[in-house]
Amino acid sequence: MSNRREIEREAEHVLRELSKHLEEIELEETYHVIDAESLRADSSPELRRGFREAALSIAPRRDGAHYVAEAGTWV
Amino acid sequence: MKVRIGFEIHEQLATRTKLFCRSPADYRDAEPNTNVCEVCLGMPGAKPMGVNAEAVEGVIAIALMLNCELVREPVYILRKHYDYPDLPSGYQRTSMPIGKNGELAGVGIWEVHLEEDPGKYDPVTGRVDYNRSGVPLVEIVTAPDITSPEEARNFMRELVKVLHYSGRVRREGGTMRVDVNVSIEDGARVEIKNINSIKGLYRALKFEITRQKNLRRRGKAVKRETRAYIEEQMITKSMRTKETAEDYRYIPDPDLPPLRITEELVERVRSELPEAPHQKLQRFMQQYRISRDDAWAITSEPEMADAFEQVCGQVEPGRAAAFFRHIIKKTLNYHGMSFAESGLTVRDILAVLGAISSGRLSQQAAELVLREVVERGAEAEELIQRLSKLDEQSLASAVEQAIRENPGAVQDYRSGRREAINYLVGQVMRITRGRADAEKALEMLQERLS
Amino acid sequence: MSRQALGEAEENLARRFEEIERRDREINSFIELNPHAQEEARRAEKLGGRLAGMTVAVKSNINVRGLRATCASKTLENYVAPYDAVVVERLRREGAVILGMTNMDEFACGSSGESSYFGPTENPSAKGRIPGGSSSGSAAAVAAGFADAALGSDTGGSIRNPASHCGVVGVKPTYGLVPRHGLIDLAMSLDQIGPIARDVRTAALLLEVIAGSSREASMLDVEPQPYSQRLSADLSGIKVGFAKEYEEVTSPEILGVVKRALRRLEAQGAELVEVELPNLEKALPTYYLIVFVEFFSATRRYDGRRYGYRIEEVCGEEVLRRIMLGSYISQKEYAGRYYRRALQFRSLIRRELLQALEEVDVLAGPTTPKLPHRLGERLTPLEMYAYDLLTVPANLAGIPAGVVPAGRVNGIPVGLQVQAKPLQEQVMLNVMLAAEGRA
Repeated sequence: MSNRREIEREAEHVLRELSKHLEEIELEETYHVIDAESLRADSSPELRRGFREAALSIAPRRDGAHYVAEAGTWV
Repeated sequence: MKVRIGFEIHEQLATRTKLFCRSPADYRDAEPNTNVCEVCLGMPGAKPMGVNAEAVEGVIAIALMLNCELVREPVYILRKHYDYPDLPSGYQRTSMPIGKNGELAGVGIWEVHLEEDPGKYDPVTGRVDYNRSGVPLVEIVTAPDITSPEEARNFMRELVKVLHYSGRVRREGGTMRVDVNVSIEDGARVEIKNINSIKGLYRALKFEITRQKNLRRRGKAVKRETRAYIEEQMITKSMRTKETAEDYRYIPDPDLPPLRITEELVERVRSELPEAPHQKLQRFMQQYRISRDDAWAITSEPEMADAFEQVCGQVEPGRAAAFFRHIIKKTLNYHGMSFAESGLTVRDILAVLGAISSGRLSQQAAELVLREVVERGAEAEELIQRLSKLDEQSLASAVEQAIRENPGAVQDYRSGRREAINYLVGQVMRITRGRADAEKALEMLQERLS
Repeated sequence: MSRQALGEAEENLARRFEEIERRDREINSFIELNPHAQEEARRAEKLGGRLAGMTVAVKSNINVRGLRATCASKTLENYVAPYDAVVVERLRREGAVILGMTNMDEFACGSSGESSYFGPTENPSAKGRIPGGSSSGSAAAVAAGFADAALGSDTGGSIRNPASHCGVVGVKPTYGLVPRHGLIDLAMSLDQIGPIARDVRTAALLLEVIAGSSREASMLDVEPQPYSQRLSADLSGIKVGFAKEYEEVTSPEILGVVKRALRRLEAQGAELVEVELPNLEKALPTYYLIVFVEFFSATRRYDGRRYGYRIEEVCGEEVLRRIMLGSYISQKEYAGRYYRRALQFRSLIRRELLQALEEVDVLAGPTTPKLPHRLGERLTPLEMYAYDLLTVPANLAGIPAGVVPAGRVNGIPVGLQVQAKPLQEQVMLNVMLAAEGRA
């Protein structure tokens, strides 16, 4: 993108402007607004037939039943 | 030079479904990319289901067996961001510690937590299979209390035993992965990834410590870095991945409310907790009055220990212990199998022990029976029938047959070549298909030919 | 809207398609139409259901199996959804017919409907103006009469803002009331799916169909309520709060429309109460800092390996800016100064809003501080963000908020925003119904 520098500059400006309104305060952070029970009982597994084909058919690269990512660039 | 070694151990938890979805967690016989759904594939829009409670309980059980304190504050599930082909959503979900400040065999356990496994990526072909993606893992982080590869090996054996005893990890094996950090004399910490066996761990450490010592000897500093263990070459190699340098930008996953490790949950898991290996060892020594070595051998596997206890209901414990430690262990070692894999049952063991004490089975024949059971899954009772010692009369007729069929050897023996009798004993064993008592056959032959 | 009013499902569908064919070239509210719609209409007619034959347009960030959920981005231009979002399953089960996928701001990062890779959307109710965003196509499709109703998503106003500008009804439900499984993330802790419709009754009906617990973790465990059957415009005994801080940030012509709407609520029996929201202006920076971090996290999967392209290589300016900012402020050394602090302010704003709602049943006020700008007019990012000033507090607090047409300024629609306590959708909808009656 040719105007990447410009987007970055504008981003810096945005951050400066936004953060100057948030002075230091002593409060616990809110990560979740609901307090839900997060446990789920283990159950019999479910398998979705045909899902693999649907998923692989939109992959940019595949090799039969596998996705293909870049090779050799990682140890 | 003082060596400090610490571990991060990952092992799959034995659950039916994955950590955040209902895809099957057992992918061993599955075709590539079939055990997946939009959740464990990290598809756009997919949201995690609740956390698999069985996995959470597994981590609690393991933490308790490693003498950890259980965390009382909300346990957030964090997103650990990094870019790697096996990670379908660009982050791995990992819980904050569930257990802390534990100890095993003199080594500090810093923390125990829950994590999801990524998929499998083959860097050579670039192929990715996400069947493993989302399988629950327990991660155990130790203090750097270990000082040699030998100690590391012993500790890992002990830890593997505890995990096995917990009954919470996958029994199939081969799923453990260890990251090791090593430093020498307060030098830089080097992390080694990609170790998946105790043998590999030992070799990687041997290599890495030598490498670091050599560097220092030449006056060079050890670089702080991440290295990969290359199994085929038994060396460690510097990893030039982005992953090593990156900031993981941990954030609590907004899609997952924190876990609450309640008193009630912990107590329930505690009440169902199996005996730890060292506890069992102590108990066996006292209750059955057997030696530490016997108890150690028998408690090497919970399944074997259970079988031993059942056998002791009917057999004198000292005799049973000797049989387990010498005969059964020998058979298992010969086949390179665990007791659980061998298929040996308490019934088999009792049958063999009974046949020995009644004199129907020799020591050698007993071993033969066990081997057959392990190799072919045969019934011990049946084999014993076949192999049990011959009565006097049958033995006598086999001796007669051997003499009749081998006049040459008889001639040799009579003309003073005493060793020819061994050949004749062999013939008796052949005729009786090994069921004869060799001692007795020898005696009888000597008598007949004198 | 009842089944009779919609007429036969297939007929209704054909009429909608005709309208779309004729006028959507100009409005650009759809990215893709559902090629199976007719078949689905036929099936819906047989099956019946609470929404039998109702045509529903779906925002392009919601997975509809077999259709493209592009998020109006080149990044996902080829992403054919392999599964249905839970809300889509629920619509189908009640006989709704999915018309197609609507236009939007790219990855919902915008408040004007102009940042789509597939081009901007026109405001059918105020030609030449922006429709608002990010659920621009969904609001426009309903306003243009292309659809009986639509699904949108609201992270900081993305349903309410275009509903206000286009003169339709939009509801952002309590966080955790409607399953998000299938909704492509902007900011996970803020996103909610909600209905957009011509009237409050249809919106209430759609909401009751899509609401209620599902298997995903971040959900409230609640049964759906029959909102549409319990609607009542009688507001006797209802306290309606108005924050004086609203006046400081809102343009006078919008305030005029809002005040007249409040007086109508009073006439329906409501008691007006003035409340205080001293930290109202902190909501915007708080919101954006959180969005940057969560959006950065959500976009890590667009690495070009499983679908589409690597996002940074093909996305538009605003999306890239947010990713950059999120990447920057979530770094270990900066998280404390920006992200963590924003989360602390989130606690403050949430507490303040819930406290104000202790004294009243609902808060009623403006939706946006200003009228929609002309299409093509260039705004700075901060000017664009400023549209969200009055809508983001509800998302930060997780409370329900809805918008209902309240009047017009020079022919441009202005919506009244009503906010309520968590899970108090019914009283919120009742107040909206009362406001609608006389608009």
